[in-house]
Amino acid sequence: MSQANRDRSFQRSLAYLAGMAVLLLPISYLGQPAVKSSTMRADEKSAIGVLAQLREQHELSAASIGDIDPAGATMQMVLLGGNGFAINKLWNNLMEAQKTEDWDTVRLTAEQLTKLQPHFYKVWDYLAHNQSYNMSVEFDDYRARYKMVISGFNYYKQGINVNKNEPRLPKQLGWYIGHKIGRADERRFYRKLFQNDWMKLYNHEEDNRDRTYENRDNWLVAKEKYDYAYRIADEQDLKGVKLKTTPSLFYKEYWQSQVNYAEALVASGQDYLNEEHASAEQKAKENGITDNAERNAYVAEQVRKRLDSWGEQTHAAWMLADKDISDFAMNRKFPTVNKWLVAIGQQEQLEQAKQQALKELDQLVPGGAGSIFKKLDTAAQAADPGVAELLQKPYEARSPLDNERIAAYEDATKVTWQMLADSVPDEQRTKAKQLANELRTYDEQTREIQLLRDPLNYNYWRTLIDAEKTTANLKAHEGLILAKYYSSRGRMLEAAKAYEEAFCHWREVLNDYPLLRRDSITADELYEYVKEYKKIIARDLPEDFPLSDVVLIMEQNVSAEAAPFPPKCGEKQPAKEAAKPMTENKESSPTTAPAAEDEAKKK
Amino acid sequence: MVYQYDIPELGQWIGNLSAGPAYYVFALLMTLVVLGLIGFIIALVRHGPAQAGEMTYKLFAGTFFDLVSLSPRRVWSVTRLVMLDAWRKRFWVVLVIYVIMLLFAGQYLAPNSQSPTKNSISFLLSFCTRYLVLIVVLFMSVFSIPTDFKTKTIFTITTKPLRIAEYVLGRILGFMLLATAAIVIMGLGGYLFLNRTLQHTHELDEALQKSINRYLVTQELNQLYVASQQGELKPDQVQRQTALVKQQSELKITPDDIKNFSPQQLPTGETTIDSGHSHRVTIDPNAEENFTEFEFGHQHRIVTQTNSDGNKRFVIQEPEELLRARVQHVGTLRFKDINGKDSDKGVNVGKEWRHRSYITGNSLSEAIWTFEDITRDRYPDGLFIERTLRVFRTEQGIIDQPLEGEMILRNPANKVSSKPFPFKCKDSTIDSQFIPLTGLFKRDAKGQDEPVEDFFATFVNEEHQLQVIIRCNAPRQYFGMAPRDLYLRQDDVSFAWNYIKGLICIWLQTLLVCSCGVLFSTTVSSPIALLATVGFLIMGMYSQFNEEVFTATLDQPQGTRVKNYVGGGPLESFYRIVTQKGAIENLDKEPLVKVLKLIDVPLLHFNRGVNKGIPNFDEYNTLTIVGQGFDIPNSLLIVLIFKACYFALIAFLIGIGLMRLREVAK
Repeated sequence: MSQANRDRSFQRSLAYLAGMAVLLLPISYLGQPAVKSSTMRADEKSAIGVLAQLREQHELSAASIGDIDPAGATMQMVLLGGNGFAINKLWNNLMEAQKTEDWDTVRLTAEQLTKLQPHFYKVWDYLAHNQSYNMSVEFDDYRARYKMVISGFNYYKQGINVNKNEPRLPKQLGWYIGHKIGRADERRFYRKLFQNDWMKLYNHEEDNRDRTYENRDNWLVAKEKYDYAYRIADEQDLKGVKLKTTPSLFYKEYWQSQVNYAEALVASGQDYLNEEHASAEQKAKENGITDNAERNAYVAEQVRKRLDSWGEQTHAAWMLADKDISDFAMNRKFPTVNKWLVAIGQQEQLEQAKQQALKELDQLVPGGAGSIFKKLDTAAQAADPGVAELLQKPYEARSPLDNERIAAYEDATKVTWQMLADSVPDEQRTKAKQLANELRTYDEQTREIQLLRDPLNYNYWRTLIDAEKTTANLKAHEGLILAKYYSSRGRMLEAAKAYEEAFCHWREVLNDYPLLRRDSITADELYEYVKEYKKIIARDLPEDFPLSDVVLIMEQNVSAEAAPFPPKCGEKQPAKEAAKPMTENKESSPTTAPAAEDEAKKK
Repeated sequence: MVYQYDIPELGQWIGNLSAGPAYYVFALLMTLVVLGLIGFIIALVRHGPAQAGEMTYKLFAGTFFDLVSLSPRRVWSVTRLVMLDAWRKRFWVVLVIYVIMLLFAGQYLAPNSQSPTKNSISFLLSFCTRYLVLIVVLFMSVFSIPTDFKTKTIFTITTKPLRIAEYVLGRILGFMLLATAAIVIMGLGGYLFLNRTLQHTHELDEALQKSINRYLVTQELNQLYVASQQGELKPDQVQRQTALVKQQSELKITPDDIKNFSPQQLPTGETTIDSGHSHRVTIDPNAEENFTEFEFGHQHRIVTQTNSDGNKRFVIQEPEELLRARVQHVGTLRFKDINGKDSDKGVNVGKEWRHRSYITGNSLSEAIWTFEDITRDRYPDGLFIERTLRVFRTEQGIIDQPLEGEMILRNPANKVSSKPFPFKCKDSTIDSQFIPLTGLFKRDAKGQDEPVEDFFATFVNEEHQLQVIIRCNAPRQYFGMAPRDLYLRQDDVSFAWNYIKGLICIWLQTLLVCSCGVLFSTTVSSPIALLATVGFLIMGMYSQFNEEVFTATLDQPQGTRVKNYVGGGPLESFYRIVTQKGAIENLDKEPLVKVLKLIDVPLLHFNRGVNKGIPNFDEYNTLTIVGQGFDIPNSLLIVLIFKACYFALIAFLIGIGLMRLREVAK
């Protein structure tokens, strides 16, 4: 290298060094830690450490997001900029190991991934789901499967520790605890293993040392997790951080979990009685009761007591579900498309207010709201003389052209609130317009509440809870449990009697809450019991069989709406023709052409 | 992960002309001839025929002369120099890093692991030792010779009475000695770590302890009850009965329990959780020793001790089978389908991984292993059969009950079968069954059982073959198996020796990297040599993949389309990626794809050609075998040593040739 070249190279090196030094100054200034002296106020900002302050302010530093994992932090530092490559390679390894059923490598790789991507919600979510749902089913022994399920939960637990401001993690943990333990095919075993904390895999003590044995039920633990998630979400909401999921679905899980708990209690009633029976027989032996009659009486008494305590527990669970769903419906407000904050339970109040406003407007319209419709109707019929006849035609018999004519007729006779207000005399028109505006708002709000309710199937759950907390429903369940208990021990006469009593109670419930009859699951379950009953009595069902409508629906495929309601047991009044439609399900009118038309037609 | 390559029989491999030593010798000669030819053609173009001939002759003759004149003393002096230089460049840092990794090992090993040995070995040897050593040797080997050129040291060296071959060999030996030292130290550290961390014990949990006490007290009371029924109790028996009353009431033992006591209803429960797991146990309180269930890759012996006051204590010992090297006698596997027809494969239950095939339950379907060399000398007491089957359920069945199956021994010649040995399938867990040579029955076609007088005469044919058949008895359910999932277990070899064999395989990989690094560094600069060696490594790691892509794309016989890799050759795949078209989407009608497919053909052939010349790195990853507790067969080790030495020799020879072509070495 020539001297001139060497000089130029040296000069370039010097220039680079100088550039680096210049860049270092602002980096050093910006990157300094925020130092606070003891004399500074809590809200007073440090003069230095701009980046550190910004991180703290926006809660972006690892310490403010959650616990710092030294191993993970070290790995990330050691990899310098190679995180992306390493993460990609690890994900590939994980997929390959899973394909080749190398479960330990999957878990090891997953551990490493969580250390490299600790603040990535989807990583925790995916790994937990993968382990609890995909990997667990690869094992034949349900205990091995359970271990894998809980290992999946533990990812969420770890994730929560390092992401304390992320409400979706505890919510998902709750959902998994509830649904994977409580809904899997192996739920009978899983629920017991979970409650007993088999092998301390979940470790209730570490999770919440105040949790009692009863509260270790998976649905109740899930509720705890939802509660925790809601607290985080509410705190974040106050800071202006929006929830990254659908709020109504996010917040419904709490009461839904209570409902699931109550349903699980109902489903476990049979097991409880069997366990009590075995335990009572053992106790009878221990107490030296050798006489058969005496022992049977003792066992029967113990079983009865257990059934009563089960009833109390179940009733309390449904009452709490009622409280939870009411709290949710009335106190939790959700933003709508129109930027209103509405509570799901406001629907009924709004309906009442709407009726009141409609009544007032109707009084202001000369001749009532119906007169406006009549005018439009006359005009429409004059324009298309045959339409009145067409309207009488059954829907199935209408041609496409008929439908077009009817649609045109309906458009022409549509009465809007505005039309009603415009028809009011001048002196009262201001008030009428105000009422019309109110009515429009009510319509929009009820429609949006309905939009919130539908994905939650709120109307169904509300009705179910209302029904389940009644004494009749409790008696109905008790009757079925007793019937199964008797039939499994060959006491067929007692079983038949218990079934008959249970069916009578079910009749009462179905008549009072017709929506339940429309629910296919309820109908299916009841029909199974009816079949059992038929086997026991070994003859056809009597004519006045209380659940004849359920049989009709299930055997002859009659729709729930069309099936007549039989009378309650002991009553002789004629059966209702068909199920009355649920008001909750009734659709509101379109946004701009609200229910005025229907109302006007009624007038 | 299982070791996915065929493990050859040494004798067969030696005699195999297409994959044995003869093939490699031929390949070596051909490589030298082809390279010589290429060199000659290049020289011909540049210098004319006379000079090209002379240059080629000189190159080969010089190399040959170098090789025959190798002086161990001069080689050692280069080796020593390389080692000193490496030490000066802080080679020892790699050992410090290893120690740090060991200290933090706990952070990376998942607790509650199903097979802790495999995890630990995978981390210690595969992750720490292998990668550390490979990376260090890779960098040292590719930077060493170019640095000599850069610092002009090479001119000093070439003025010494040192031959090129000695210089190149000295380099390789130097790096390999350092790598050997590192592997030995790391291997020793890893072995101590394994022994320290995997050792643990448990205690019986409280509930189980209570059940055992209950069993023992009930048993004693039952004996006293039986004695009282036969006559009046002796005073000491009465005294004992009185002494047991308190315990009887505490343990809530009823008179019915005493009367109906059954010694077969043994207490069952769990051990305490230690080292992240517990074991299921069934204790026979009257036995001198019991065993826990074989879970998490091991089991524990439980020794019964009697205290001075006569009470029994059950002490769980250190784990057994945790650090084992089982020797497998493997057979060949064939299947019968549901109609009883012979087949290579069983049912595909839809798993992406086709390692295992499945047999259908409650049908004529069965898996048949044929074992060779079954002799009295080899199995004087009986057969110790171990099986690891998978279960696939098409319906829940009884969730808390394992599926049932049966195992049958059969003479391959006359089809005489044993009375079935029923078993409950332990999914994915090694299930052992000892078949004694006496007390067995054979079953005829009518289902009649007859006692077997001579095991070998009945079930083993004249060619010393025996068949073991597995059937699934559960309707609509399946058992899955691969050839090595059922084997005859022989006496274990020492785990330490097996561990050393694993380390040898790491050493062989290091040898490949080192030779390759030195080869490239003799002719190109360090960064290029680094890239070339890394490329070589990557090709070697995906050698099997490359071969399968070639077979799946070009060499797939019609009608047997078992495509593991769909999506075509490199260009077609690239086209699918950028146009976001699925791998199985038929693009034959697109003109561009037709063109790309045509270009893919030579590319794939080129890729395969290169692939053939590169050792399969993945084949050396025998640590999975060690981790799973199996012996690395000696035949496999010998074959791997041969292959690695062969590639190292080729790299060495080409390295000498290339070095000789450089100006400085002429």
